[in-house]
Amino acid sequence: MNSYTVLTVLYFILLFWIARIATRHIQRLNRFVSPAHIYVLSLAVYCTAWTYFGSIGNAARTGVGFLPVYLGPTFIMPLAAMLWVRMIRVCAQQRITNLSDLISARYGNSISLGALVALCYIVGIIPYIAIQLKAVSTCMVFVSPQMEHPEAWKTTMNLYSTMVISLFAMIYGTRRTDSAEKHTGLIVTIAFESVIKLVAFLMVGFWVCFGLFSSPAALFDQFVSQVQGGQIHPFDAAAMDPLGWFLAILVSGLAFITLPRQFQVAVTENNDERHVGKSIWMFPLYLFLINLFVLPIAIAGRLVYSAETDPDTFLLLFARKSDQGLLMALVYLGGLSAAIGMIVVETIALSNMLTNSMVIPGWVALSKKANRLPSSLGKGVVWLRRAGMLLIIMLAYFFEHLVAERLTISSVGFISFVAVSQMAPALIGGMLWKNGTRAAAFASICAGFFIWMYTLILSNFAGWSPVIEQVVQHGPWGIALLRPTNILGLPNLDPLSNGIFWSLSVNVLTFIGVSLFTKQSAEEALQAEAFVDIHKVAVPGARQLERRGSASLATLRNLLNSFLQPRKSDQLLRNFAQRHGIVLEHDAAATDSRMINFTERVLSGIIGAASSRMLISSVSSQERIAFTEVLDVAKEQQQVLSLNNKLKRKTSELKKMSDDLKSVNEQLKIIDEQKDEFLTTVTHELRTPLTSIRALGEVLLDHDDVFDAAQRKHYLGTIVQESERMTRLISQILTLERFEAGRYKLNYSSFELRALMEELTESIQPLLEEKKISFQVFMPNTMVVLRADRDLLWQVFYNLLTNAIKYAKQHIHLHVAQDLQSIRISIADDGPGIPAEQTQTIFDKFYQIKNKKLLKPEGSGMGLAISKRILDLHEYPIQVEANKPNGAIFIVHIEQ
Amino acid sequence: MSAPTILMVDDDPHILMPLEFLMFKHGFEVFVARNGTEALDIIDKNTPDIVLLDIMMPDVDGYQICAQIKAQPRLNNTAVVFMSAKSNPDDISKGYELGAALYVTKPFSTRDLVKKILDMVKAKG
Amino acid sequence: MMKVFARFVFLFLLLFLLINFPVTVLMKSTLSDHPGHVLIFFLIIWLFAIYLLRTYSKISMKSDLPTADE
Repeated sequence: MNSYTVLTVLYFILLFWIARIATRHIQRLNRFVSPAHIYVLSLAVYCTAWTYFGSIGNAARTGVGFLPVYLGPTFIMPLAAMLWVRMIRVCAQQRITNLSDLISARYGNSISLGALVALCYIVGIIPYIAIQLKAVSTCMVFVSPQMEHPEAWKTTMNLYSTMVISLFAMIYGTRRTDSAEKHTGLIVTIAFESVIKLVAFLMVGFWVCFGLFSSPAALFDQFVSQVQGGQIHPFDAAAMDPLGWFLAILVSGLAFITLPRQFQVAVTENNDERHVGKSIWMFPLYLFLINLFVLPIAIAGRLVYSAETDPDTFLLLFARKSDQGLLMALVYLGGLSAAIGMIVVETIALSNMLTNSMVIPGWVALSKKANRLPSSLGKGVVWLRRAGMLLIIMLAYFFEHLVAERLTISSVGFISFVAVSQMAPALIGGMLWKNGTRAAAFASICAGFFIWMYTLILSNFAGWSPVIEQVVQHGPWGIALLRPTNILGLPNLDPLSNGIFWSLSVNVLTFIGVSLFTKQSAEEALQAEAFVDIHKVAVPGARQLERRGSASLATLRNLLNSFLQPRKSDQLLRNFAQRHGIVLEHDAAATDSRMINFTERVLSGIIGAASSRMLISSVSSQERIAFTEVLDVAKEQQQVLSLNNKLKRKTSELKKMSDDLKSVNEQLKIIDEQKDEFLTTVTHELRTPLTSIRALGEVLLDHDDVFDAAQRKHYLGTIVQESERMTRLISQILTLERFEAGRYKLNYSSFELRALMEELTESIQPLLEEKKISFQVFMPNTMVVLRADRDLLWQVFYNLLTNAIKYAKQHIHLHVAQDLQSIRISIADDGPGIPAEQTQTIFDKFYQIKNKKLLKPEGSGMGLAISKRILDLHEYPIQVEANKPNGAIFIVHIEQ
Repeated sequence: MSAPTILMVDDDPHILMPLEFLMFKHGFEVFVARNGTEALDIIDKNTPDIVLLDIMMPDVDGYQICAQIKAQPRLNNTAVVFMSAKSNPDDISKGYELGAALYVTKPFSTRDLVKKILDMVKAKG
Repeated sequence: MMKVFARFVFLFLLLFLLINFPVTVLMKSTLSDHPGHVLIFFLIIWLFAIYLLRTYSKISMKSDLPTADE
């Protein structure tokens, strides 16, 4: 036996062993290898035989044309990560395990949509799987040139490995009925394979760059000289058309999200959201590393091997050339791993979709028609899946034999990518946009898929029928503008780019357009909220309201028994009831709706949400609640919340208003009090002279005969005096009131200060003489001109001077000082002074009246208040220096 | 029968003038005081029958003087009459609570006042 | 939601332009002449893009929900 046969067998055994151990001892394993790293490495299932062989082949022709496939995922990682987290949560909540279930669930649990998606995926990916099988076969052929009957060997090995791969998938891809179980063994194996792939690639790369050639520089130099010497063609620059480049990157990025195998490893098998965050940069790093030597190897291949050599095989060729058995073995195994990983995971995912979205719903529908439970389905679900896997691999196998001979890995890969990308608008749009409708998803996938087939598949069948040939060459009905490979004759688009551009544009536009014009059913709307708002809490509770029917315990148990062991289903039901305090009566009694919901959830994990829903509704005798009701409740909740907010705002506004009113009220009260005080004081002040006037008058009247002329004169004089006092008081009050109300208009004029002072001096002379007070004036020699209301200022100074005289003992003086900007006039007396705390209150209206404790000379007490108001009107500040006990000084500042 | 004595206290001389004339005309012995201190001084030295008190005065206000009068047993028979521009009910009741015999609000009629005072004296006997 | 999606579109385009520029401008003309230089230059830029992604993942992991937005 060939040593490579042995190696192959051993490798398969190793893979099985790893899977088995990993399943059993995952915790111990996690001590050596971080789960996050395992997650990232499992994502590397993205790198298939396309990476291993196709990239180098592409690089050899175009230099960089292989890059978009890896740049796409790199660029789209942030978006992918965000989507994955959301998907992980939604899938956990609704027990979704594959893409067709996801899309079907999002758009209202539509079975037809799920079936469509499953079908499209299967059609789009079988060619890709076929290519991987071809790669496996290539590897094997490569290591067996010495065989006697290489063809026979190749066929045998091919079949054998296909079977083994299927077996691996069947065993480790679906262990339990509940497809929500994680397949730890599978994932660890995939991760292991990713390591082998990478290591092998890097080792060959190193050998080529530093073993075969002395250094990368030498390699490149040799290449350049040969190109310039004309021995080798330069790279085909046409491959780097910007639009084509962009489209290739875009499609790779989208495919990264929509490929079933990527969904399987990234979402379904994920067990910790944090791993997603790490993968954002770690996975691109893996891509970077595995592509590191692609170009060098491609260039080296061009140099070393003839132009007829298939560049896809450069990696294997170099491994063999190195004459290092280890290297060869590693590359061989790496190539196998690359292909096997893809086949296994993709098959599992596709089979899952096939079963949940097409087979089981069909089966359930048939049973419904026949009016019986699909009891024979039972544990058959697991075998159903396995059968599906086998079916898919077989289809791929046949496809490979029929068609794949002529196609390069790279081109098939891209075609497959474009096919799966057709789900992207419905998928990504569904996850992010609430308004996406089922009709839109349906229409967009159909439209996109149709264009995909038209532009990328049709031309491959040109040889099959003259009609097709005709369409391909000249367009349908002879319309050249609609030729499949170049619709509308857009320039610079190779057929692949043409296909990408048209299928995606029509798809996206259809999705958005149809969504805007169609309405969602209530269930769709509910699901849209559940998906898009997955990070908010609102909806899970609402889902609980859905089922209002009744089903007996026995019915539920029977239903579950179709799929689970009877003991298991009984246990599940009882545990649930116990946890939620539901009392289970005898079997025939109707149970709580929660039990029904629970049963539905359990079934979802087994046969998918859509089918499960169908089954439950068929056994529970109820009408589906108008989901509008549920939606209304949810909307009501939202309304209540927003109403609540509005109320809160209103309340705080009202509070503010009431606070404002309170403070205004306070102010009004104060003003009221002030008014009362004013009235009281004024009346008091008016009554006092009135008393004298009246008394004097009465006495004069009653006792006139007794009075002599002098006495009479005295009395009458006093009456007049008191009347004058009253008049003065009244006018002062009125003046003050005018000042305060702002009604007084100042009468400005320019005048000389000296003249004013002389007038004042003259007018206070009598008082000075009476009290024998000395008066001194200090004035600057220069002329001091003021611009103010002369009469009012006269009043002010008169008032200040008379006050000073009132309180002075012997001296008063007036001092005028002038500097550049202002004039200071101070009036001082040597009286008792003013207590410091009263320097401001002396200007209050009724200061003197209220403070009768002071020695009160004649005067109404309003003088200072009026003076202050006058000065305020002029905006001249007045300062009081309470020089107690040396006397008070009043200082007026006049700005020039 | 000795002449009745009256003490008049007000810081406004213009009211004292006619009152003094009137009381003198009616045969009273009149004492005047321009402020509380003077008044108390006079009270110490004499026992007036009537004390006519202004309330709002610079140093000691009329209420305090009344209180002091009423505190002395010697002055039991002295009638206190308040005369004041303060006319609100609280001020008036305060005056009566302090033991005033009469409270007249300014401006008042001298004829009424004199009559009431004469009545008080007659009542005392 | 639109904001979020726009954010990622922006990121995608940013990275795209970052890498696209050297590739289309440089490689087109000079790949055959100086493959070594072009390759190294490109690898550096790719590593830089990975570094950007690492920064991004750190930022988005700071919030409780990794890469969960809003």
